[in-house]
Amino acid sequence: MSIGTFKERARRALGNDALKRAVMFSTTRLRDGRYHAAAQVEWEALRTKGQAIRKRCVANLPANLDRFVAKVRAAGGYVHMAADADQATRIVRDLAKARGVQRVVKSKSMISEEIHLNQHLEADGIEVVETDLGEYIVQLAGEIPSHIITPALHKSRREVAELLSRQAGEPLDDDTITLTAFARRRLREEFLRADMGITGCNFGVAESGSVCIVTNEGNGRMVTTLPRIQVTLMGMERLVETFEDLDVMLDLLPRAATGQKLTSYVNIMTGPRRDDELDGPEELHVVILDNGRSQLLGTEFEEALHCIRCGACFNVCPVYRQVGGHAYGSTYAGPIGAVITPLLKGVERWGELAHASSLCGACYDACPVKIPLHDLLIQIRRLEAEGVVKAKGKGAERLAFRGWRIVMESPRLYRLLLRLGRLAQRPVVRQGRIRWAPPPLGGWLAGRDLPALPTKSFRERWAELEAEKPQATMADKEHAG
Amino acid sequence: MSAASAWERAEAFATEWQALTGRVRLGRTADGALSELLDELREIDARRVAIWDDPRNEDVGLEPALTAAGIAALRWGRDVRSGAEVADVDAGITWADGAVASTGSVLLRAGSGQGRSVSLLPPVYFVLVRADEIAVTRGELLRKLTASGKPMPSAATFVTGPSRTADIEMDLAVGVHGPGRVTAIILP
Repeated sequence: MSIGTFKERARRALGNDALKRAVMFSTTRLRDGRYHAAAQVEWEALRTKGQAIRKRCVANLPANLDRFVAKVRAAGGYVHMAADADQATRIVRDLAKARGVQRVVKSKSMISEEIHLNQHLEADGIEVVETDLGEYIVQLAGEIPSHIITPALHKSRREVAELLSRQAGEPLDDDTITLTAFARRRLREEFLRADMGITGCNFGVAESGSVCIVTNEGNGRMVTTLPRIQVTLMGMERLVETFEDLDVMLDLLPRAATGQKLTSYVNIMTGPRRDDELDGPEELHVVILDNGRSQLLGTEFEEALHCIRCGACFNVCPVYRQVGGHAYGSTYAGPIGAVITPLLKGVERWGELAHASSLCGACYDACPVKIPLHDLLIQIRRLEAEGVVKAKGKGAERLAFRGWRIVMESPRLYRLLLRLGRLAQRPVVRQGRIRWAPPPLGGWLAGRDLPALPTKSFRERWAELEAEKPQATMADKEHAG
Repeated sequence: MSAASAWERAEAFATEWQALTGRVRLGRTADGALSELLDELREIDARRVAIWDDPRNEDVGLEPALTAAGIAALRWGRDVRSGAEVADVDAGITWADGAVASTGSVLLRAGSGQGRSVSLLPPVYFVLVRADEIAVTRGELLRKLTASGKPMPSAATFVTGPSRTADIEMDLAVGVHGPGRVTAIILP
């Protein structure tokens, strides 16, 4: 997915009208849902509360992790700490091998996307089936999610019908009821046959060692009810301290994500099934992934760890709304993806994503825990600039800015250049706009235009106006005195 | 908690639950609630239903009422012991351990007689809710869950309406993995 640069992928996306329509339609629906849900509560007060909780829980992360781990173990669960993606996949593969696992069903987990778990398990000959409908569609298409809440939001119903028809071995109508009914039948068999269920984790609760999973379809419950082994993959920052914290988060997450007061299912699981229970997992394994996260603790980027993965910033981002998720080329797209991808995977390779933003701050406004995403994006750009100052091509940029400074510091020079510019622009002005310029200036105009320089500048008009009414000015001054 | 305020909360709960296409039947007495339930079961032509092994069933006489209506009541742990065995029953019936009026949610606690599968795998689901156990906010139930001194259940689940998805072009569909038809039976 990450072949080429963001610009190249974005250009391809911008040329795909069907994709643009689908992304714009869905993100608008999700965004408006959030507006509506937020209007029914004291949203700003709730956001401030959520921000304070995330700040506290992340600031105390080491202690919270210790407590959480001890509580999971006390409840009969296993905990595995994974420093990076390799360790995490190794842990799950080894466990699958040791327990003779043949079939895995999964509910949505962005961590599993981050560590590319499916391909590792499949390499071991294990059948892995995604059971969130959107994830299932994306898996059948051989793609990755383009949105963390609605993974297949870029797919039209005709594309979905084609993918599911291939599974059915017969053509299916493309109405929603037919398609979801097929998915129910097909995936029901998978749930009942699977040995291992793999889930993500919306929140871990430190005080009890509980894992909280928030879903709508019920696949998250299936995956934690039927297979004999449950593996929950958790980013290390996902902890809250108490159920009181969790309660606030549950007020924020569904509203921000889909505009719901609450999702259909909020599952709070503490340990595996008890000895006298007949369903639920016999074994519960919680895999806690670091993968670069702990390096952000105590830095100016710590707030990036406050994220609760609601996707609200995607839905308002003027860049995401145009190009969709795949253009980012990373597991996490949208504004939060543009922040955490460079931070977790390296600024050299991924710093370009921090430029996939107009810095308008809509992401911050949408964020239920008030992460200043636009500030973080600027900080990442700074890191990037500091790292590549000596690189080729940057000398010219430096020279250009030095020239800019000389002009801006001299009113005479500024006026002179303005007059020259008016002459120079003549060949390229069309209906008052500049839409083309010779290289290297032309690149900037590829996706936008520029208003032409006016025939008279503000200073020139001001001077004319002053000349027109010399008396009034004095009279006004006397009155005012 | 006065009876009147319990029924007010019940009404608020019913409004929220119905907004999500959930169905509600009110029984002013336990017998009244049972006959509402049997009405609903007749409507879907239910022959076999799964129920929990739960002392609250005896309190209202659930099993005898079902049997008398010609419906096979399959008790968790006795007649059915796995998800696969309840996958093809006509409906699941369980108790709520409280409900939330503000969001239209019911709380389910897993236990030895309280299989998770009963509320999840059948296509139709009935939840029995005591009116005086309906709280205004989720926070009240969470506090009760954690402050009781007892250890947390292996699974505590807030169910809010039917299973749903909007993954195909944002078009809402119910019953994708869990039950698509959910009915709350409210009783005193």
